[in-house]
Amino acid sequence: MYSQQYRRSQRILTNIQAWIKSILPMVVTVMLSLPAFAATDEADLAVGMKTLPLLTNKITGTTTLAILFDPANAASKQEASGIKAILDGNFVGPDELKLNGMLVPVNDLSKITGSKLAVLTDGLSAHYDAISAAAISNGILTMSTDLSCVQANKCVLGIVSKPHVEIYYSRTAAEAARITFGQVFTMLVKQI
Amino acid sequence: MKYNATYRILPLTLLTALLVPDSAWAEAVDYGSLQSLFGEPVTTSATGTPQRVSDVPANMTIITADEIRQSGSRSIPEILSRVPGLDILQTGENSFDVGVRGYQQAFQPRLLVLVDGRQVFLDDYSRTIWSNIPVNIDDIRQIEVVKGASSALFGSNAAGGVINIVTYSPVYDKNNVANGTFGTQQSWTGDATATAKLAEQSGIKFSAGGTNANEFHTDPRPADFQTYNPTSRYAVESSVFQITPSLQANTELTYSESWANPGQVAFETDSEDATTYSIRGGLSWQSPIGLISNNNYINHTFSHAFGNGFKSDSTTQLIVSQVADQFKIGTDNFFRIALEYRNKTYWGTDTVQVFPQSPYFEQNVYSVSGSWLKQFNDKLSWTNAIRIDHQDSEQTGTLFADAFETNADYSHVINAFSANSGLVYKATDVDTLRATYGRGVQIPGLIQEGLTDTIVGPAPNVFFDVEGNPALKPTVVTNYELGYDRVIPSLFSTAKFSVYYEMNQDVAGFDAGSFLRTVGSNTYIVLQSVNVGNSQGLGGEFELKGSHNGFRWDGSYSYARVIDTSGVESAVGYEGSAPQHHVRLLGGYTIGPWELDANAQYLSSTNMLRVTGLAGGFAPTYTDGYVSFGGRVGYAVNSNVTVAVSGIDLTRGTLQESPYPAIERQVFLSLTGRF
Repeated sequence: MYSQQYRRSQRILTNIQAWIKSILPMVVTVMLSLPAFAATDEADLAVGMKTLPLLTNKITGTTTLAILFDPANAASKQEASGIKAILDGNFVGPDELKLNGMLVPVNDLSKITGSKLAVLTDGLSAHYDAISAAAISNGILTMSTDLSCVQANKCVLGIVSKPHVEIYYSRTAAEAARITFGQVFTMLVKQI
Repeated sequence: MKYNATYRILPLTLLTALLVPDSAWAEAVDYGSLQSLFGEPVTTSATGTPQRVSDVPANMTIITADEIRQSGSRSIPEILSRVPGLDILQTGENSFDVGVRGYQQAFQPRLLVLVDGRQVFLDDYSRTIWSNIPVNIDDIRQIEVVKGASSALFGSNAAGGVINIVTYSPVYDKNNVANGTFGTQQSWTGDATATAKLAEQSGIKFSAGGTNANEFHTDPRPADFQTYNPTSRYAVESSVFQITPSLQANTELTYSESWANPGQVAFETDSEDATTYSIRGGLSWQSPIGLISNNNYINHTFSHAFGNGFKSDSTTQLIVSQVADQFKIGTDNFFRIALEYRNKTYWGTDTVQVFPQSPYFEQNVYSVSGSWLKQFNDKLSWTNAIRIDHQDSEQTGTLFADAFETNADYSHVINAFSANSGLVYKATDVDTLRATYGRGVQIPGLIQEGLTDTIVGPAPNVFFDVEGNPALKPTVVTNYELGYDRVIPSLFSTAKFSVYYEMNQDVAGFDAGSFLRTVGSNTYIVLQSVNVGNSQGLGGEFELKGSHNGFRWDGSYSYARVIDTSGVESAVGYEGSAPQHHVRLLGGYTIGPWELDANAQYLSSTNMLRVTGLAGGFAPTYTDGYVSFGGRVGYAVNSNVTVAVSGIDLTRGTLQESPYPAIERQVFLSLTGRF
């Protein structure tokens, strides 16, 4: 009688172990996965700009924001135009910062000179190395809603605005571009 | 002996100063920019490390500046009444105590109260004089409320919870505001704050204000003293200076004075004039080994109090020096280590005491604490914190000849261990689960441990001999809690559930241990605080809070059940001290220049201890449950000026909220200018 109960409990235990093993990879994948990419909209832009007061070297007054796009990619071009339209509208940055949007094609990154900020559109993954090099040489804070850019340490900030705000931060990319945020900020963001 | 304390804080201050290099910008927390970025308040009160409120491993509520304005109140305890799990005991027009989760008492010792990290909790009886807090209501950025034992981070007195009042920063915020409020009880209140930026990262802020009112004209008992008209005055200077790119310094000077008739430990009301001065200086340094902060302050409070059979002038002084380092190892491990020194002193005399004496009681507390936050992944984090306090006590000065305890008896050591642990699991984008554990320690207060006093007794040659008890053990509070938050987008709301259980071991009762001594021809009725037993609390809170299209709502229900052992029940009476059931409904609507807010609360009955006669006896006193209504109508005349009418307990002329004198209806008209 006792051995029957023991064998039954062992079978139950084995089944539970098999069930845990089967779902564990899925659970881990879900727990570790980053949010999917989404094209930059006004909410993303607003979140990105709200990080600026937390820079140690604050950007004030009027500044140029480079909108990086791939002229060979229609979606990228359209997204860039949309961002430019938002900036040309009534968009006001934090601390009354005025942002002038400038379209910069990835095949002519020399135009980025003079900008302190850059926003990447979709479809630029093939150009991350070139963008990163340009940002490093010009000390530009790069932002993208494509988190793979931050994961590859090519962009400084990855922006998620929905359903709630998350900021991904590449310290490697920031240090390379001489961008410094306060330590309180770095404790509140997800550091790559 | 008192001068030694000043020298003991030097090592901690020098430790910070000697290590300072010149690297990146130093910084205080820019709460405004961070709240704007993340769409929710940011706090350091839960773990010492900056966190979004939705991430904290504790039951925390943050009351924002908008909510404070919409409450229409000029009193911090009244603002706190909107937080599920908090209960307000109002014993006079400007006399309050704030209880947490069913643990209510006059001279509340279980709730640590801070303003911008500086303790405003008074160590004499272990209490908070709310009307003596030097702060302009319109200068508060947020009020952070942590329920449950938190002494691993804040030390003793945070045994039941913590309230940290965060004001606007003189460097990050430009807060220039003036308010005048007039109302019933012939009350008038005036407050003003002016901020000036001195350089890119430096600023200075001045606040001053005061209030006058008449005391409620309701049913005091014969033993109650209600001599003073409720009055308060305060002035504050605070500044932040960027010394080098890596080093920020801050200073603060405060003065506050209050006249009030508070409920006190003998379950009666006294009249008290308390004057507090404080001076603070600190450093914040972004170092290669993390964000190092140093905080030093001195609080000096003089109290003139009189009541049934006593009249005392006493001084309480607190000297604190803290050094903390917050740093990150890798991307997922956050650490905070801290050292702290506290010197607490109490001296004073009862001016009607029988035998002259001039005791001087001192406690030195040396503490080391640390916390570790492990972020396993985007969804799961685990925070652990520990603190060890070592306290030595000493009585010097002159005691009366027949004193039961001698100076030597008061020399003793208490070692205390506190801990907190919290697991936060963000199961989905909308679901967050929390499991927390806390072990808090409430170290005996200066008066409980060190007061000596003699008062005329009930017969010739018979005297009351009130003495501190050096053998008093700390009260240990152990807290277990489960919490669940769910964002409900379809309702534009967030729902919060929590259930908890807590055990309080070795609760201390004031004057609970009495015995007779005869020395020569004199007989002394010795009154001492003693450990009277244990108390258990269990309960939960539910809250649904949201906003949409100009509407806002906040409905909550809290349940708190307290079970005392017989010693606690008869000496302190936690069981029955606060309502078991508390329902709050807050609603508001903003349309154009108008802000309309209303609130209703239901509190079930209480059975609180209360003085029964002039001889000083006390007994549980039943108070019926009640419903109260309040509200505010605000109108923005232009972008600078707002006029508002607000009211408390609007539906009745008087309301018996507790066995203390009933509360009168209060209506206010206010004019606020922001520039």
